[in-house]
Amino acid sequence: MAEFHGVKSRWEIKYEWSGGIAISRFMQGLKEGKILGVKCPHCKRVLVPPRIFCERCFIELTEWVELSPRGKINTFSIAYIDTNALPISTPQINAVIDLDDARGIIGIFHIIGEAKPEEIYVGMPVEAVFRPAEERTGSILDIKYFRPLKEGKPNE
Amino acid sequence: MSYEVAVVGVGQTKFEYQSKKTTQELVFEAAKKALDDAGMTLEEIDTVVYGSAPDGFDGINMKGEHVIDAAGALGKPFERVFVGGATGALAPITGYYHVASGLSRATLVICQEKMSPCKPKPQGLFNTIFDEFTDRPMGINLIYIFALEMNRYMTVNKIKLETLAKVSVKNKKNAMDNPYAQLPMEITVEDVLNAPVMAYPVTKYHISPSSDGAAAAVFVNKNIAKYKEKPVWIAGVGWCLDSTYWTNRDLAYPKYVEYAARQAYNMAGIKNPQKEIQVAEPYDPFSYKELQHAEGLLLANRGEGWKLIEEGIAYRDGKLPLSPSGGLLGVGNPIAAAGMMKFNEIVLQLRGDAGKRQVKNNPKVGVVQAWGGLMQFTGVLVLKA
Amino acid sequence: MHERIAIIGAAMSPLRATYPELSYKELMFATVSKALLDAGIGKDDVDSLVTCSDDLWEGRSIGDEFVPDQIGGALKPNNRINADGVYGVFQAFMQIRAKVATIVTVVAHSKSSDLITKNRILNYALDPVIERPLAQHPYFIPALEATRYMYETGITPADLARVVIKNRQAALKNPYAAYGAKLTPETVQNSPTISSPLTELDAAYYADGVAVVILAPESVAKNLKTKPVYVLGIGWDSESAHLGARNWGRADYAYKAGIRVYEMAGIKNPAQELDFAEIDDRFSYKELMHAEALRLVPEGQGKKVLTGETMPINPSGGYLGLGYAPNAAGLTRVVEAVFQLRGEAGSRQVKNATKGLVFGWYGPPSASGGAVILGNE
Repeated sequence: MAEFHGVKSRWEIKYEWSGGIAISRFMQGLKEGKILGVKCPHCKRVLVPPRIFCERCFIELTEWVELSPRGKINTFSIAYIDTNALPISTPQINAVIDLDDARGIIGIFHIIGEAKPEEIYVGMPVEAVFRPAEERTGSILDIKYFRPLKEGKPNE
Repeated sequence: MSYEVAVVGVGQTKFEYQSKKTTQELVFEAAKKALDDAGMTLEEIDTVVYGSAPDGFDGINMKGEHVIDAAGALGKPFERVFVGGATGALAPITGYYHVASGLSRATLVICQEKMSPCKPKPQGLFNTIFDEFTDRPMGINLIYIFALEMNRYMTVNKIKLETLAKVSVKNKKNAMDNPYAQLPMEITVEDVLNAPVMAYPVTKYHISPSSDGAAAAVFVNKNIAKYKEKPVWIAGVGWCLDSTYWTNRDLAYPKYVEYAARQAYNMAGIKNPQKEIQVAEPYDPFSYKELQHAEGLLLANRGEGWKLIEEGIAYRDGKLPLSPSGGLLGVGNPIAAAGMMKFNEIVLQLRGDAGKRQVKNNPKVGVVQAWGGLMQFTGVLVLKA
Repeated sequence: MHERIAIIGAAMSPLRATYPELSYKELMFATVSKALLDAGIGKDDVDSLVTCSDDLWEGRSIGDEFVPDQIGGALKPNNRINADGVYGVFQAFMQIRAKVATIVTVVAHSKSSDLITKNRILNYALDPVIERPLAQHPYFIPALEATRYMYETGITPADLARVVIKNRQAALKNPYAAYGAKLTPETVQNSPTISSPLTELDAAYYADGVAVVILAPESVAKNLKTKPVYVLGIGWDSESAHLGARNWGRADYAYKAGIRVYEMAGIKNPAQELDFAEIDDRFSYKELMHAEALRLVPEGQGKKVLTGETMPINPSGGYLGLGYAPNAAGLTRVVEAVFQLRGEAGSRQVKNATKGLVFGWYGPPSASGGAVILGNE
């Protein structure tokens, strides 16, 4: 049997994706420390991440609203691996957070900070913590993480 | 009019963590085996459908063009279907409509994946299946979101990890009888629970491996099928894609699976799937997925998928065996080829040709499902002996 | 006898070098909405959807994940084919005939402007072990083909320049075209050589755009307000993509696709029976090569395309004039053919057009392509 031969190679591809109307405005909102959504006048949902259409009603959406940065954990997971499935030393708490103001199941994916893994539960009230204004770039990472709601009552 | 369509040949390669064979060699091996099983030559094939998932795994853009020679498609109408993990169902569904439309008398369907060339690990590539603005910067991968969905499914339906662990134990044990399996093993529920945690609640044994492999089948119309032994008929097909916005969906129940299943059952004239389906291969890249998908396939009541495993229904000697092949958990998960392997397993079960894996209830009606995307896409096929 | 299948709605966005102000989703939503309006139906009337795309063009793996919402396809059957957009029409046609769907929407989109390193990804389509290490600018493959084709037929670089001039001039009449222009032979031939004999202007420029068609059986089409355009035939073919194993002087894939499409449409003499053709001209020589393979001109006489002895070929301006929107490309030409057959092509209208041919090629390094014949009677 012959020896096995192969070659090594790396894909080098660059993209510059346009965010368009909806995502550009969402990113601008994050830069300003706000979570923006768009409201469907037909089904009344407030959609986050925003888009200029409602996939259910198939109409154009133009009504923008600012949402409270508070929500509840819809589900969570504690990751001991990184993106490449290689082990990490400090576990990361991932979560889908249903936003209080969105009505219905409208959540966003983010991480949980200022909490120990064993404290987290489904339904836990949390709030977004933004990075300082000068560090924000118009990115989902402008939200540093969500943390358990410390004071005040959870919105119902 | 549409034409009746039968499957008259199936074949697959071994599923392995790192195959020494190239993409083309895997495609050729599966295609040749399926043709041989059908007792047919390439000259009798009118069209070829190829299914494969992200080009990034083996680093080949326009991957379909790369395998045309190996797939026996030279000088024929050929196309590549690619809808993520559901490709293993959408490729046979596409093969079905090639023949059912009358455009083809015989169609060869081949699904193949070679994940191992992707470094450091194929899982990293899954970051690129997420939204570039909202998800990717978070370093997200598929294990992360499966873990999120699994937790939601368990929480809403009050399912214990022990119950889900039993699915892994069953499928890996079923795979002991599958000569093509990558991870056949006899393990205990404790082994699953005590395995290294990747992302809570997912441990190493709740998840299927990354794999290289291929599987293929030959689809023909009635005029050809009547000369073949033991044709298996495609009685129903259905498929459904849910919204991209996965954080805006109910993660506990896969409505899109139900929609796809209802489409397939309606076409097959199946009114009561829990009674009429005798063997099933629901997609099981993770332990909980087998039960959650069984609910979507209406093989269990909503929220009661756990009963299938706890009450012994899902085992090979049970009333409705699930994943008798060993599933993705036991046989392996070369993305597109995984669903096709499940398809082939149902064909073999309905023919009575599954050997040591043969289920005990002499099945005449089976269902196969493959699933993918951002927890959003399902293809379903109902097969009848 | 099968029931006939018709295109009941069509729309496309004007092709542009870039749409920086809109995301691909927003461009798709706008165009699909327009097509539904054109058909006079709502998204809930649609049973099934088909898209054609390739992950690397978009930079999103499993790209079909990202389309259902904006095309009215969420919670519906969707299928995605990795091919030129014309393959989407084949899927819709087969699904309707197989009776798994009645009304099918076909969408193909390109936001090729999002991809900075366009040429590089074409080389990633070459065999990684034996071909890629030799790769240069990816147009070396069409250049090899052009050389052989010109050797066999006596076509000259000046002839290629005439194709470019013809199509870019035609595009001046097409409001959907991005690259209409009046060029001189000198401008084309003196533009920088990419890989001889091809100059920069022998290759179509990239574009962003979305094309949509909606198909239904005749019984449904008859009850709608829009004049149906019938799909009289479909046919496609694949030959080897490997560099050592292809017929460099002839487009065998187009020839075989032609045999199939003409047989289905009952066409014996395409040069006589068709009124116009919209065929792939991603590179200037391809128009001539495809015209020969599809028997629009006699074998070896591709040059006749340039002498006014044929039916109108690429009255839209072709890709050279319109712009080439990867994956969407062939479907933009299907939409154009629908406009022609409805008599809605404005100043580029082909008079008394009743039957037209569309042929799409998957692009380098592939040797795959497909044809559709549309008719209004």
